[in-house]
Amino acid sequence: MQKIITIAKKEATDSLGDKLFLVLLIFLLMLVVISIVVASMDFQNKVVEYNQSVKILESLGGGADSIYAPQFFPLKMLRSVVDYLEILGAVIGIILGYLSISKEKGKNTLQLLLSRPVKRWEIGLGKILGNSFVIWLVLGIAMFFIYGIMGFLGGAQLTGMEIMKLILVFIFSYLYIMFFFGLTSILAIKFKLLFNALLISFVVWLVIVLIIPQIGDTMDPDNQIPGGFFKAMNIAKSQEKQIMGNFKNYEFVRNATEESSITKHYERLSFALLGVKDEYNGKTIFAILNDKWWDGLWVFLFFLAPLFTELLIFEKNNLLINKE
Amino acid sequence: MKLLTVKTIAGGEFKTLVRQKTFVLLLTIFLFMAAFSAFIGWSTKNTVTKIYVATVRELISSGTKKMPVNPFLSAPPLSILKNMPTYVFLIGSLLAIIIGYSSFVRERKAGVIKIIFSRQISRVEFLLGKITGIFLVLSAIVGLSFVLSFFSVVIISGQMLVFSEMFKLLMFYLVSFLYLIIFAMLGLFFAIFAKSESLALLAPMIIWIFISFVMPQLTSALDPNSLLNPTSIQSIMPQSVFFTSTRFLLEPFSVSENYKTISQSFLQGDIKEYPIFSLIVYLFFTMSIPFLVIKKFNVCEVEIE
Repeated sequence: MQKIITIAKKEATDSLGDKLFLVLLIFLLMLVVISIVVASMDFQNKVVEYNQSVKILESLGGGADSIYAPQFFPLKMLRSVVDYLEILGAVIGIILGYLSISKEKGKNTLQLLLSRPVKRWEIGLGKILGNSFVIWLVLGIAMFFIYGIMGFLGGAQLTGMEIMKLILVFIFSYLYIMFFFGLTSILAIKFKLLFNALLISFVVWLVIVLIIPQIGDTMDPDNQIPGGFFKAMNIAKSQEKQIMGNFKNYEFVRNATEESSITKHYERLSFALLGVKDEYNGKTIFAILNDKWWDGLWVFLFFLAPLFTELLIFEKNNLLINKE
Repeated sequence: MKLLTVKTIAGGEFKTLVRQKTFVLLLTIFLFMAAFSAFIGWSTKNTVTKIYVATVRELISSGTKKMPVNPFLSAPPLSILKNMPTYVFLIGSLLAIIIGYSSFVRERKAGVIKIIFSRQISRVEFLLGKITGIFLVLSAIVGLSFVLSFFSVVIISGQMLVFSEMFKLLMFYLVSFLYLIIFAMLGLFFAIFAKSESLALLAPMIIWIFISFVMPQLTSALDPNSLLNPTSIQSIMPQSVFFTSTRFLLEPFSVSENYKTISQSFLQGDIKEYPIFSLIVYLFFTMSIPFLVIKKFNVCEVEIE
């Protein structure tokens, strides 16, 4: 156990000392601040628009029953934070995975490490634990920032339940980031040219994080015209469901495209916990997880698969012949 | 300035880039997406038209007399390519960054920069050769995508494009080419400037994230994922002082948003705006800085890490 902790400590110290990692951390925190500021301004804008509409309706002699007052849910303001964690969190995972292997390959230190009485899986596990610590540190700082900014900007104090939901979102964010860490580590071990490993990781990132969810969104019939197709057609939600029931195959293909990406599962679960979709606001964590367990399971499986593979590669493969 | 030297370097650069496996991989993905974009556009248009018919039937049965017009009735043939700007903006930009980046990092890594600059080649000639090579490669990619998109639209729609539509498609790819040049130049700049290989690749990507997601979010309040949808889900822009101010200050420089607006004008024909200002500013800026940094580039420094 001591050996694993020593390797983990070394791994964490190396990552935290790398300029590249610091640049990414600062950029992520900047994005967190921008996201919350924009969301807060957007909410204020909606309140002003609502008040103006009420005034107009009242001046026309009618009531304001036909329009809904925007409701403030502090966690809802974190929608863009999740989007940025999807994009930049994955990049952080890729960079950590890349650095974790490239420094050993570049300096030939893996041979030295393997000549010591340390088991191969212990090296792999030490690396995973060390980088897990770094990712938790990043997420912890981001969470601290979120809590501080929300209180400072909007005077929004999070309730115990909201804090629990936020912590759960960050637990799943960790699993999500670790998927990219594991994937890049595997590629960096397997590829002779480290640059190619990094490049392939970025291509996978582009496809999983941005392109697959984009295809799913683009195929959504409701996303075809500004403001929404069904809204433009004056169709009620119940009628919409009835109509879409006739297009099950199309919806199946669209959904299957989205399901193939860990990003979409992470997003669905996080959005439900944050109450981005109104139907989840006010629901207990248990009720949300009961509804979204499928997405949670997928994120967990996506998290486990590359990490187990990495440990297997450390155990079975001749790591020395792949040095650059 | 010796034109022959520039031509030789450009030719060498073109051949090397085309031979690279990673480049071929990215090119394949890009061309696949060009064809796929047409397929998705066609499939979605067909399905949504059927949904419209089903919706009208539902409205008739519920007693509605005034039927909304089919919103896809007036869509031009090129609208099935509406996903293409998103792929240029995602895959194309990454491809361009890598092309620009690898064109200089390759020499730095191999340690041949010292040898090259010990010859009678000026730094400006060297850089001009590299940039011309990058231009050639990008124009080949964009040219291939144009041909692919053209045939996709003709095959899917079952009719030949009229001259005005062909011109619009050509203009869309010309603007896309200029947009890609910006990112290729960013990649080239950081490849000359950065001390480590990873930072040289990551720095333009961070700028790309800022330009593509953060700037549009500040002006429209749209979250990053919504920005990838070719049809804005937002019907009106927020009108508060904050957003009108950020729009006034940032929109002229929000090159990705402006690129999407121009592309929509050409492909979907629903917006008649051509905000070209940001494209010119970024092109001028990104094409100038490699020339400034190459002059100060220290050939005696240790090789890139």
